[in-house]
Amino acid sequence: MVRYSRPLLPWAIGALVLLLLAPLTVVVTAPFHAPAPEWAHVFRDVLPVHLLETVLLLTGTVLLSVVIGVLSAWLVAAYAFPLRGLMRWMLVLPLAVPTYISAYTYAALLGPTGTISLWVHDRSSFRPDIVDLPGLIVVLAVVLFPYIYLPARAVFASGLREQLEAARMLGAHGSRRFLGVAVPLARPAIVGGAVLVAMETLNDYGAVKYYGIRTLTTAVFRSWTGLSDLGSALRVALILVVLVTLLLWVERRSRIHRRQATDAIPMSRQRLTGARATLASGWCLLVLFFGFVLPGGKLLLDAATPQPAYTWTTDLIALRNTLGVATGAALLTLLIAVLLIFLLRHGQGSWTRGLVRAATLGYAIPGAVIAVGVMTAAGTIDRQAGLSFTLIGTIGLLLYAFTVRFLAVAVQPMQGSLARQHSEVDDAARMLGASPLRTFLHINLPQLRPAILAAAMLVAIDVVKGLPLTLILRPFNFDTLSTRVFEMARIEQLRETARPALFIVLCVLPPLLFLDRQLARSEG
Amino acid sequence: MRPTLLLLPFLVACGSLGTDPDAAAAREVNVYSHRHYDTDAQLFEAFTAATGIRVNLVMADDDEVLTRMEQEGANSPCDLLITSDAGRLGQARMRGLLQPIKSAELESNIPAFLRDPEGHWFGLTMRARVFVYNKNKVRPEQLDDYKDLTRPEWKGRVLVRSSENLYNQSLLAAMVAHYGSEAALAWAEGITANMARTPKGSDTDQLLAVAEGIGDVAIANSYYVGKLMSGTEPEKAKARETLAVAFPRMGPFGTHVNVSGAGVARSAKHLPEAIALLEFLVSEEAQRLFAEGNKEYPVRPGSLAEVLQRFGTLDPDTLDLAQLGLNNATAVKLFDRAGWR
Amino acid sequence: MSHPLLSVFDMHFAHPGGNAVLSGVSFTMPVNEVLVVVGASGSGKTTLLRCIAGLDRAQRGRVMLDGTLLQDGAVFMAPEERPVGMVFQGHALFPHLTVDGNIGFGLHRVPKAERIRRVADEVASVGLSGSGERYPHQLSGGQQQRVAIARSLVLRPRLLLMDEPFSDLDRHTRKQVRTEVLQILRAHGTGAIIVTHDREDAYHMADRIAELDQGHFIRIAPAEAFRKEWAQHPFQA
Repeated sequence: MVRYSRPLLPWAIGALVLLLLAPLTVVVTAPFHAPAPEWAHVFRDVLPVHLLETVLLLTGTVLLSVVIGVLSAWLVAAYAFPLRGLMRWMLVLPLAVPTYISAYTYAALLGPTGTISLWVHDRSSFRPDIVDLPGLIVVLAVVLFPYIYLPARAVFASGLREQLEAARMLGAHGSRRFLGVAVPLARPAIVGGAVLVAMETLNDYGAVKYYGIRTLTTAVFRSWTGLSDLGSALRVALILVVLVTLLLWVERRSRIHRRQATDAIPMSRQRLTGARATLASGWCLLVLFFGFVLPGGKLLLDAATPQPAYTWTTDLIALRNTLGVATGAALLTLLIAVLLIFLLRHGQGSWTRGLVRAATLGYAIPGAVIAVGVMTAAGTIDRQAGLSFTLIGTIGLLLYAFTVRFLAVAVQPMQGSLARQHSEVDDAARMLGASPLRTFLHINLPQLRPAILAAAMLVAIDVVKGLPLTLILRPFNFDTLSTRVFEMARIEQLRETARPALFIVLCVLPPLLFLDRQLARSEG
Repeated sequence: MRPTLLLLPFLVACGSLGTDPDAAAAREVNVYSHRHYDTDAQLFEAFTAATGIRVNLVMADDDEVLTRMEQEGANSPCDLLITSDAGRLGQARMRGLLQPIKSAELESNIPAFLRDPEGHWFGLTMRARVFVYNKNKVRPEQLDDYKDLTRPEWKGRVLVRSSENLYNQSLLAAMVAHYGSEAALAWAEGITANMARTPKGSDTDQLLAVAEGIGDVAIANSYYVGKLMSGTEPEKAKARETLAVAFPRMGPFGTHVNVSGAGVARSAKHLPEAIALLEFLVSEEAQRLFAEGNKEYPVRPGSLAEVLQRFGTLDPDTLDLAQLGLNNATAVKLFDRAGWR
Repeated sequence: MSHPLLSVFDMHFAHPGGNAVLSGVSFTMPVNEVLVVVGASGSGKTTLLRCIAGLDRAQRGRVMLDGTLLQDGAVFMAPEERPVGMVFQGHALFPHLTVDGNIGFGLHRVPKAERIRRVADEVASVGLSGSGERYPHQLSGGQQQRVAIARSLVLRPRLLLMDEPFSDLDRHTRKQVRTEVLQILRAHGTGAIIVTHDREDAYHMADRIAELDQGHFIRIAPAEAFRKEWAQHPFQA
């Protein structure tokens, strides 16, 4: 057994963490030494507008997502109304639609020459046009709000019963219980979800480009591809990293002095009748309609139109590749996340916490920039080791890149679950003669099982929906569903994106529903 | 249902990852391509059928592909680089990623201005940046020159996508090359002032918007126009009836064109195969497929798609295409200064 | 006695698909009375309070408070409408609000100046003057307890329900808080039902004690009667 007297395992894990940090180090240090010939222009003429529109888009999307997510969660958790049982799980479905696909389908329906817009215009002088900044805010929020809905629902449903009942006994009606008690008490959960929404918004490239919105991510690409200045691009990316780090700091602060989930007793739901019941059902149906039925229906319709040149085998192989990469990436990410969690629990000193925090920074960096870091690191290894082949373009490197990018997604739920395990139990195990490793494997790990499963699902969902890493790092003849969608969208054959896009939605649904069920079980 | 059952398809797929029944093929050529067209897949199949050489493909965006080749260095498996921008080919050459090829076949079939003088890269197809107008509202004689659209009478009538788009960048880069940056800036400012709306959507979206009367003339790439006009989708019927194409000139020079082109990678391990594929891509058969399938202008004379013939005659600007790459950054900066989003 | 403060008649409650928790509870309480409910755990003490509060809805039974019908077969008044206060076992203070915020929570419709005055009075009457800006996690268990009580009493409820109110206080504090609570109840003329498993609490506070067993009261009697009996059989709950 490994003990602290011979701390081999912690060192081995430390080395692993360093390996994960290599591409991040490239991304974070390159801005300071790589030549950036166009920086003066980028700083003066690009950054201000791109920063402004980023802030507008971010604020709008996050606020709207919070409103939709929190309100829906409250209705579903606190009231009984027709269709509630159905709506409770169906409201997570929008998360299955990647933002770029939602953006394309909405433009095809409600853009200036969209199907619905034309129909309306034929009957009135009004021409709906969703393809602008406010429109994009709506389009993003209606598919991203479940990031807030899910955790808020969990807290509302089972964490606050006593406080909410106390508020009732003090005469507070529904809206005051919601705004005065439930929302402030669920704030850590809401902020956590809002940070995820913010990250997705910041990382989006397809949707903002199509809607003509100038964000920091488009500034990265404008510098890189337009100005051929990778150095400036990396500097912009660093600003993005700083912004996200700021968001994460806000999130961490929101948890200080907050006891969340004070009790685990399910809340008794108040039955709504008459107009109120109709209003509640109507709201949920409306959200579901815009978040899932409309984009999903449009995809289904387009997928059903005959496409003469279409071959199913291409998409089926892409489907297989997608599922394979998602599984591989989830397993590898989990393995490393578990090792990190071990280090966190049984390692010494604050340096482990610092290392873990640094290693999970990858989620803050746009996929394409991570890809540059990964390629640079791998290229350096190739040359230093004098390899006769290149690591770039291997499945292994692709999975490694996904791990670098999504480690945070896996570590976070496990960290939360671990924090709820009393350290006394560890001490008891140690006093009974168990080594740290044995304690971890036999005491901590079994209790982490639900969190590990949830983490696996989250990573798999992100990999299936994600695009840039696969696009840039894939081996020869290797399509995934998202690269298929991207390629068709790139050459403006939007209708042809429908079938692979539909496959993406179908792939994401099972893990998504699994997550929902897992949460629902704890909600009672 | 046990939740773990949901994972079954994921695990099965993971197990079968990377297995490939045809992996044992004897001769092969590895291609990094920016082109995503179905036509290309057909072309590669035809090539394999004719020569027995298997084509392995990675598709990604230009700059990412170039970065990847740079990092892979001498170990790069890439034999042939295909992009849809002459500027990127010029850059690949400057960064030492390509090698010169001597081929009588290529030199005799590709006009000199569409290939690198030393044979580092060769144009395969042309795409022209054209005007597309509403037949009912606009007379084509108003649309002789790119500069025409900056005149005040076009205020609120011009449709064009964002300057994030490469083809807008190379159009302005060509102007910088011909007229200098001041005149190019004036043009970008003039167009920005005349826009019917803030730039959004794709080239095809601009065409549909002209048909809907949101503006009267759009700047778009010829092959998107060709695809739209030869298509059969019922919702685009109105566009097919109302739209017509004009070929604006750049002063004394012709209509701005960019190319899709290819160059043999410096690291190529399958040199003969790479050259064979390159030569195949300018063969009459391949050029016809480019033209028919993707409505691009072939570099080899003849074999023009019927829909392109209807548009009129393309008289391409013969500017040295390397200039597009050299002036691209300048063009982007001018867009930013002009406020063309 | 003119009319009782509270009358409960034939109250039945069962969890959906579960066993009956209350099966025919009936009693009346005169104005100002402090009634202590004792009984083994699982006997339905908490459920009784929740049904009177309206947090749980008894399937059958009639509840009248001070001449107002709170519930019968046809009528159900929502808990937030009932002039009833409740002190929860875990206090259920709002962690995001200060002491003042917690105590003023139910007074949000009262004009600000008056609200501030009433909150200040209430804070003083439970001996927490000077602690108005502090947050619940900065208070001791006894102080939290007093905030929870003050928060309910500031609304001047006709009836206060308390569920194991002193369970997490140490022996000394417990005695002190108990006396204070009793004084406050008397001063305001508030009736109270207190659920406890602690006999000392029970006979120190109660006017009458009711014993709940298997869902109904098997006995209601003056506290003195129970005290004598308990002295003889000290080990039975």
